[in-house]
Amino acid sequence: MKYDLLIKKGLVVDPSQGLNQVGDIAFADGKVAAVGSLSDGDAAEVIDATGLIVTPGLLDLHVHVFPGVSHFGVDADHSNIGKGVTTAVDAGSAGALTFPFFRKHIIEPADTRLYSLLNISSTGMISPNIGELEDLRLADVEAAIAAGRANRDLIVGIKARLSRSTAGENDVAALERALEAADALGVFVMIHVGGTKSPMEKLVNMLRPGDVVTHSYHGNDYGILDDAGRVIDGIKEAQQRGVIFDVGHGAGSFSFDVAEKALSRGFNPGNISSDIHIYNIEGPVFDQVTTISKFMWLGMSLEDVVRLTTESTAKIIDADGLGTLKVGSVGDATILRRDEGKFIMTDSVGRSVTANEKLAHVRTIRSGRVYRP
Amino acid sequence: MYDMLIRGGTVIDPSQGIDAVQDVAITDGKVAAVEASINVNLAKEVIEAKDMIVTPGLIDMHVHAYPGVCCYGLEPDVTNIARGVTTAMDCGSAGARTFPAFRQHFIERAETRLYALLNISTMGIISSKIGELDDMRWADVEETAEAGRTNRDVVLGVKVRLSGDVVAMDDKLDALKRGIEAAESFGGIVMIHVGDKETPLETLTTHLRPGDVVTHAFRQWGGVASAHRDVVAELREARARGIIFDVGHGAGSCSFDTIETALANEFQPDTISSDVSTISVEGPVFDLVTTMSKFLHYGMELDDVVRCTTEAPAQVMGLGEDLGTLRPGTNGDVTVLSLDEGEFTFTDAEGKTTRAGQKLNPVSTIKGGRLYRPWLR
Repeated sequence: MKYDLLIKKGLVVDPSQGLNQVGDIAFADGKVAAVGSLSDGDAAEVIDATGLIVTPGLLDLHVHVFPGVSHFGVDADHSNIGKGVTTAVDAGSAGALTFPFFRKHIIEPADTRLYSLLNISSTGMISPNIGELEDLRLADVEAAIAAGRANRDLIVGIKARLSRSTAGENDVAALERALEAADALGVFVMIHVGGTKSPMEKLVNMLRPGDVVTHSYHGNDYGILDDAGRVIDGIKEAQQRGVIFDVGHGAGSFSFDVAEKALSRGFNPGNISSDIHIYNIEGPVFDQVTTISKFMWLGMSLEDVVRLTTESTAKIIDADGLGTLKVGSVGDATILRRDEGKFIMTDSVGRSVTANEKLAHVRTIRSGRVYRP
Repeated sequence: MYDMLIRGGTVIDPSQGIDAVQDVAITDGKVAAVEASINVNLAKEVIEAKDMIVTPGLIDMHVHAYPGVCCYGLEPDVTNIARGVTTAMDCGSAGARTFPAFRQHFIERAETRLYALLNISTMGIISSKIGELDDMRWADVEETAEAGRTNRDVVLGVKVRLSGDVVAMDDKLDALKRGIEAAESFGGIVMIHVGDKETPLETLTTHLRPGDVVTHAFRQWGGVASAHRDVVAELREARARGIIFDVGHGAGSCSFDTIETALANEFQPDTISSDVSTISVEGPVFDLVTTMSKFLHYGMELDDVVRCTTEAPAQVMGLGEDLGTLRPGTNGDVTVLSLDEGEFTFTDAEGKTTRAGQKLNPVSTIKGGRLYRPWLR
């Protein structure tokens, strides 16, 4: 057989190649082997995707999958590969001291391709009651650099949660340390914003091109909008100079109102992620596919939302061969269905909207194999 | 027919007052018989233990076995069952918040029988630099009580580390009271870790209940004695009340001077544990049998040393019905040791060395009636 797997007649949406057309995709040896019009007889397994959407394997830049140590954690495979996400980035559940266990017992055994942002706090996120950066001694730059170097294959960035509830008054100092560690490792920083001591603009001004702001559309104090609902100039300028504004929906960090105002003024996200965790997996987030569906309700095209969870995300984490269906790239694909009907979707501040279409996950392929748990 | 016969060794089982050459038979994972001579033809597998010492499976009441989360943690099987310890108790590496992963990935998977004390700090011991009780909000009674109740099958009590590097002087009694309150809610013991110059041990033991444990009791400062301080009357009273004085050797918590003073004052440990961790496994602790050998060297009887790592810890842990004994019907856990003669250098936690003429070494370990052979797994 020429191919291990052939997905036939799906609507292939792959922004990395500008593809948005019905076609076939074949996989061999864990890689994408061919895209085009292909013959059934050449494949060991054939999936008929007529009427369905085929995308590169989805990436989720913001998840929490360290259950049993981090209170936020959900099961890595259930919430990711089981829901169409082939590659997920844990956003700071583990710090330098807890990363070794996370690597050995969660990342390495998982079916989902997992990467991690290392929390600048060396404990990572243990308790919802006590912030990991309230005691700045925990923001140990040396320890983070050492752990980052020892695990550079998996650690793609540094996370700093800067809300008062996690960092107290320490947002600026904690971010300085995160940037120092990230500089040493040659990786990006992701900051979690909302309810910070400092205005978002001040924090964002400290970021370098390629750094990420997550929870960009939150509805709490110090957001991206001014009192008149316009995007603050400094925020727009940051986006123009290459700071990436990510969604990171979460349980408290996504407001349809903020997103509507921002998108209407052309301030689109640079990445869409779910921030899936134990406090939102039963709603309002559910999963990444629901999160990208919300941006379709907000008016973005299918192609754009797919780009923001495939090609864009892969670029942010510098993962060659992911987020694309180019021949020779990693054989990850997600099959989705575009359902029509009436779907109620809720944001993190309790506003519900009724959408007339929603994406649903049908099948996940990782490294050329259909995920069948 | 027996599954296994351990033949011709000197059986030392203080729980039954046995110290004699005996054969031990095991069937269906349980001790079937301990007798002067058992017909070798009745056994499927025979372990020759001539010239060896055969004890109930050793119990180490103070270990750290949560590597990758706890800075002191070691892989549980490498340091326990592979070194003669069939049952070990992790002492506070995990707190209520971090216990679920410890249970799932270590306790349930280890070949060693693992039990745990929950740290009263819900994060447990993660950092060696920042004490888990520096910020007393971590000492959460409700969360600890809940985790204790949920995991009562493996959680035997609560650990409270009360040395100055872990908790502020002014918070010590508050931390201890919270530990006791949490332990009482699920019927567990409390183990306190002690040790600094400023806190005489008797100021802490007055708060403990019978069955509660003082670990690091034989350290240079803040223990039961020192080179300059005999055992005080309050500590003898505490022992009479049922407070347990445990060794917990560790990297910083066992002094030969203290051992000499205490033994000269007829104050032996109730239990001998290693507190083996990342910072002591390559010395001075190495393992439990080395710790036992040190007390043997300073004059304790072999029977007493074995009691302190079998019957006594089993009772402290509330597991005396099944563990720490070779009574027929109990778990088929057996340790075969050699008592080697030669010249051995032992080092305490203060860097003091001594030359000993004998040392115990693990030869074989049987857990639940099966010889531990990791290479066959």
